[in-house]
Amino acid sequence: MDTSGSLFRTRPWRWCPTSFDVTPAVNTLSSLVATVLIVLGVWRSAQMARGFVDRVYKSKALWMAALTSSILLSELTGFIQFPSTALGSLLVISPLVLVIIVSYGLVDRTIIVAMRADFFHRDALGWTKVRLPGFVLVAGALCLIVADSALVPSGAFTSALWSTVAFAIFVGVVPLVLGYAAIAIVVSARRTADRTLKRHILFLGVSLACFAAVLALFALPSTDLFDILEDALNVASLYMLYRAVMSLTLLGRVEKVTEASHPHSVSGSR
Amino acid sequence: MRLVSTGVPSLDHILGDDGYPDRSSILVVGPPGIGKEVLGYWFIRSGLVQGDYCLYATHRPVSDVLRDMKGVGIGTERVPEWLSSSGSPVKCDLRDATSISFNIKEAVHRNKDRRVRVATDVLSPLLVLNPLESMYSYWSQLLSDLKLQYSVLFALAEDGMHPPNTLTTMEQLFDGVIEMKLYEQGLAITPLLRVKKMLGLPPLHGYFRFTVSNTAMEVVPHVV
Repeated sequence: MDTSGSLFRTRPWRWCPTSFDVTPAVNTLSSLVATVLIVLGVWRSAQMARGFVDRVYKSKALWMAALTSSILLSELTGFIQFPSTALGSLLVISPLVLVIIVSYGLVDRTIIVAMRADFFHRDALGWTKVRLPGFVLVAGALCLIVADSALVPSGAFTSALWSTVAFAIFVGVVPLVLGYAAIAIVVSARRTADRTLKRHILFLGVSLACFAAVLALFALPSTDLFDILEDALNVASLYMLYRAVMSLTLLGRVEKVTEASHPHSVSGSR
Repeated sequence: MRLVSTGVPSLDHILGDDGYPDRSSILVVGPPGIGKEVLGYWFIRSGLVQGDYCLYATHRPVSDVLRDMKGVGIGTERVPEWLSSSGSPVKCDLRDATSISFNIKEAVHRNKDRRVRVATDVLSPLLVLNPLESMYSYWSQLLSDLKLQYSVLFALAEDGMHPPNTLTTMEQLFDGVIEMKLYEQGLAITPLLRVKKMLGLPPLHGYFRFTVSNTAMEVVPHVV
């Protein structure tokens, strides 16, 4: 239908958006929001890492910077069209693999720090026993999905069964382990006396839970509803991660000070 | 009024060229990880260089504190007397607040002919473990006893570990309060220091940017 001739002929068409219009629009918008949130997250966590003097806190801020940077990389690859080759597939999947590995490392460090901060050093849902098997499971699932991405387009493996099995293990195992970690992290947050740490861990736990839900949604058939839900959960996860970055420490707000009320400024410096 | 160097020349300059007032108690408030201890290390180091008697009362092991001191460029050839959880002849037991107070007062009294510097990080753990009312009288008693001697007590408090009214109550007991925090200004996050009150000085409303390297600590005015 030619809609270029008259404004009146084009407007009714625009007023009745089809599912084809809405889903990509939501997807693009959520990608933009996610990118902005994550750029701010990278910037602020890097600045906090510079501001901290204590090694433990500096390291926590650097972990957050590493996670947000890997997510930013993952978001940016979404805007790039890679060729359908083994290398192209690997470039698409690598940032997600990096995000999952860094998330697991960060969560593990955070639960251990929270356990140390707990006066009774209680183990959160037996995390000290689960962390290694959990990592092996996640690493195994990631290896399968990477192998699938690398080998199937190259023609070395053409079995649809192989792809299905690799994908099923990935969407079954990774969200399960990350979901468990999210619950463990929330439990450890409840046991720490440090209010700032508690807030930070809670935000991190909710962010991880949303991320695990996004990964679990990969298993469901791609419909408009699930696509929009996935975008919403992705933005929620990144927003919570941004809040986790901002709650690493108590931030003050600089109040404007007039020269008259600042009698002890160092001479010659202002 | 005689003054006691903070150990950081630029901070001495801000506080009227000579540092903390003598026979005073200074509270440094800030969130964990910001570098409050560094200010305490430089204060103690300055005392050791000047031949003052220095006592460090900490809930951490001596080895941890020494490692931190080396990390910020403070040599450990000369060390203070310790009152710590481990690695010192006299132990610092957080469950026994009375013994901590007794040991500090006893050490200060033993050195009554010298200038004494006491730095401690036990305030926050004690506040977590004890009711505010009893801690108020505990610190009030300890601070007034120490003021009878030629001494300066330097205490650290963790921001974010206590309800806001707890820190406000404790700040009221001290002669000087310094706040160290990361401040958000637009998109930038900067570590700043603020002198909330200081005995003998009018209120200082400015912010000061501080940097800690592995050789020195610097405090410079921050232009808002």
